[in-house]
Amino acid sequence: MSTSAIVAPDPPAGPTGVRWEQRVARRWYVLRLSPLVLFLATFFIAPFVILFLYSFGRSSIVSLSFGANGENWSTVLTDDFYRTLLVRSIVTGVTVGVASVLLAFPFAYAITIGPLRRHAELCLFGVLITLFSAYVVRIYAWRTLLGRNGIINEAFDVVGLGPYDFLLFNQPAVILTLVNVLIPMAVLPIYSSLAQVDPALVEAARDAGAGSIRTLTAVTIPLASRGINAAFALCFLIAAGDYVTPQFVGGIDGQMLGNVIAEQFGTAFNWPLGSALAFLLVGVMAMVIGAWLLLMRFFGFRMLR
Amino acid sequence: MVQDKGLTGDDELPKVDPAVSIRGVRRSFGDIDALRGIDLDVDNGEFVSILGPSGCGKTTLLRIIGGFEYPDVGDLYVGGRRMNDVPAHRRPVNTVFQRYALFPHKTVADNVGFALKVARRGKAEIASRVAEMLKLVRLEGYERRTPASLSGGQAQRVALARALINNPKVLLLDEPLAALDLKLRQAMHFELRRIKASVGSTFIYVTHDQEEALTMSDRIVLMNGGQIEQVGVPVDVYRNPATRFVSEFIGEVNLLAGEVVVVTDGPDGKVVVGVEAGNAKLNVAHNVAVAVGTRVWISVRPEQMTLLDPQETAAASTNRATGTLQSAVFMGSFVRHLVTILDGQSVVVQTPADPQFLDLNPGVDVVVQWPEASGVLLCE
Repeated sequence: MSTSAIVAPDPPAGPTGVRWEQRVARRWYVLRLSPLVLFLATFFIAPFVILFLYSFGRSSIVSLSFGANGENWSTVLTDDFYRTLLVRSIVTGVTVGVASVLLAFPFAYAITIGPLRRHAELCLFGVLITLFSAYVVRIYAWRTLLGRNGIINEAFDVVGLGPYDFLLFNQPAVILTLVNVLIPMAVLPIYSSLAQVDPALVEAARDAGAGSIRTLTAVTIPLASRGINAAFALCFLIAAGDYVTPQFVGGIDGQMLGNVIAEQFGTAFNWPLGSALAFLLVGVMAMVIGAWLLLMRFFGFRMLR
Repeated sequence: MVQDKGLTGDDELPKVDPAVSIRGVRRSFGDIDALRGIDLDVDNGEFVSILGPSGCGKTTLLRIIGGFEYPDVGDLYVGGRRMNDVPAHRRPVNTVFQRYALFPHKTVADNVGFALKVARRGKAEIASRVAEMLKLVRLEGYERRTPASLSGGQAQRVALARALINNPKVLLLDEPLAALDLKLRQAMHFELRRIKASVGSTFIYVTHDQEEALTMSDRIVLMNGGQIEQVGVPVDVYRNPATRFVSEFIGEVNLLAGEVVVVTDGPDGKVVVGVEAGNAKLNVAHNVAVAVGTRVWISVRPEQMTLLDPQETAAASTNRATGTLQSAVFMGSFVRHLVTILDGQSVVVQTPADPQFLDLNPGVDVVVQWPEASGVLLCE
């Protein structure tokens, strides 16, 4: 119970010996978190709950009403149209997530452990600079690349081929664009986890007789697994929930569940149905993340304590 | 032994290949010359310590043997085989890393057995070898523990077991005990000797701790500034330092500066060099004659010196220097005296804690005496 301004450097043991500051800190730690708690409670949890309640409601042409009917839910769970879009969203998300990790890992490895480690900052800046340009601008850039009068078709034209329409307005175009947009999101967490891998551990693996590939799979990748998982989760979640990219480069074949959800909240004015679709997507996304972590554990990339 | 392609007729390697041969190895990092021409042979089964201050190149030398660094110039042979272009994972050499470097995501058993798993040995064989190694380092039953749950000393033992499981021809130890406290370190000195005796590998041990080097090694390699200053058995390195650096680095030493005035023949085919230092003429036994007028140092250990009453007569073949006692510190089993001799030079004299030394008061005149044979002549 120290009232003095001078506190002992080492607080003595026992319940009364805990430093005054520490006791205050322990009791009122919520206070320190409060700006964030308040912000999340107001602007995230509350809308989230309201949205969830909407999914059991109804809409008429002029108003929305809460309720307790499972109509929306039975629609989204049984309708083939929504199921097709859901599957496409998840497949797109997983493909983008896996491709981003596969592309980002060698790059992050090269600038942390590999040959480019002395130029890491410059290389990282090169990746991050793509974040400086607006997301929509980059999507448009892909339209000018892949479109009927795009650069690729112009190039084919020179050798007397094309123009090819399969380049744009489909699911592969969506995946390609999203991977390009999300690569920095994958590089950053993998880079930071690889940068923390103790070089002595890599040397210890070499010392024990492991070649470069064995060292990579037995030591480096498991130690970077948190970054890899974070990279996949980030890219997957953003890609699977996206509706802007499919709108611009997806065409009819590339539309995803996000587009339908946006439509329900917009022109269709059916918030209850939109809510049910949104929560369906969130639930399935959580399941995919869980499956990914299980899969990583199955391959032995155990999460580190 | 099959002649390796790397060995040509020009190589003058002995018939029985040393465990490790280092020939003219140089290595620089940018402007810094870490190694400036190293030649060293380590015999099979030897325990050699590479001793030196930080930045002397000892770790670089060890990393070159381990395959984690490459020499700019020079050759490295392990068991007679040229290793310059052999990557770390193909060398018959294993390393115990400074901060253990245990794999945090693997259990103790998986850490120790990793080398065998990489070599695709059977599960049963790995398990029995792991148990054997853990018994060797006295950590039976720790198989399923994680590195995070081990103390520093235990982690060090696991690192040792991991490095030894492949029966390496040479085991490299990079200051393995640096992170442990004194008591544990001293216990590990004996442990390392015991483990060394039971596995029979050659140990090359890098340390900056002279006590570690003196107590454990068969031979000590003293390095400074990227070069080897002296190689020898511990007693020799301690008693007959080859350079001023060695005498100062190992143990405590008194260095008396002077100039050679006379050289006479001494016993055992040696010469006795007379040195004028301050107001006294000191004699020191030396192997070869030194030109008169050479600036030299005489290095004498504190425990080789003793204090006498100025009235006492000198014994034969001893050096005497009169001086004033500055202070005496009682150290338990011995006393350390700080004495000013030879026109103001301070020396440390270590005597037993006997009454005649304990009763001396600072300020009294004393004579510092030491045998001619125990001083070592060092040229500039």
